[in-house]
Amino acid sequence: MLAKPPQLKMPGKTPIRGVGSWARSRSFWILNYFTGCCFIEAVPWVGSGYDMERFGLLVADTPRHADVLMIGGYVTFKTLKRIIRIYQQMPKPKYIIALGNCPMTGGTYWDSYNTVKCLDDYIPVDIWIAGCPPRPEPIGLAVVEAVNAVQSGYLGKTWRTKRRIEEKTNKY
Amino acid sequence: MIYVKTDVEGYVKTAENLFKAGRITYNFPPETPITEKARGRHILIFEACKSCGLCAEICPNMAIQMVEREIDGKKVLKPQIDYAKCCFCGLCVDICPRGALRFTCFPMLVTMDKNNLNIHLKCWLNLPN
Ligand code: SF4
Ligand code: SF4
Ligand code: SF4
Repeated sequence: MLAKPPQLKMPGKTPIRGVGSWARSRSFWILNYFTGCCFIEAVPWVGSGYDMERFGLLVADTPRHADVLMIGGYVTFKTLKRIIRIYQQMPKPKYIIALGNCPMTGGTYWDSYNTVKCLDDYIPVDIWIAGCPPRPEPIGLAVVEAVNAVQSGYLGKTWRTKRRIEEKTNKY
Repeated sequence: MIYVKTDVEGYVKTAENLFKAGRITYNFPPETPITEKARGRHILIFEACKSCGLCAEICPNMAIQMVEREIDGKKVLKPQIDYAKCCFCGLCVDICPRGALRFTCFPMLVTMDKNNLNIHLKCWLNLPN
């Protein structure tokens, strides 16, 4: 007997709380900070095949105009300083999307001396997209999830500069 | 010469799309063109797996853990894949002596909170019934 192949479950619709959160959820301005190879799979969203502007996503020029910081790929300790600097410059509410396995667990670079193994020890990541690299489609699903969360009043996770020791100890 | 040929083919394709009637944008998600060969989430065929642990040993990212599961009252070891680590290299699929681990072309692996969804320890493979 074959196991059933996984099916896509679209996330359920959430109630809209306030005009502000509704407007925010329909107009994410994205600052792309692409650090690794996952970038290549996010690029099709700019073209007309996937067309990110129909979701209200625009590419922002500076961190001060951006709502969402998109981190694509592995983060080294040198780039981490820049990411934190960019993140501090963004106005609230701000969200972070991380692409790929590398920011999550180190991915293929799990034994590298210089890769950040768990990015949310340093900055609060709201949405994780798994894959190495993820295909362009999950980015669409991430946008749907983000729209659902933000329109019901989600303001992003709080930023804790301290490492979360208790999370660190039971994983990785 | 072959490079010139592929270049020209590309330009012709672009020009065709420029003047093609109708839309080229895909609706999300049903229309997105995922080929059968794309590597996505695994499935595990429980009956075929003989708990040898070869897949866990070969995995370069150490994404596979052999966990104990209860099937028909018996406790058996079955692989569990951590998709926060798996890079879809396909080594585990290739080495499996019974062909129990297989790829599907399902790419949607998105989580809001990786602790809540428990990517690390929850079995994402499909259990029978
Ligand atoms: S997850 Fe894979 S594709 Fe993405 S940056 Fe890491 S190694 Fe590259
Ligand atoms: S596809 Fe590769 S990385 Fe993923 S579980 Fe199998 S061996 Fe490990
Ligand atoms: S290699 Fe195949 S048979 Fe052996 S434990 Fe892994 S899935 Fe089961």
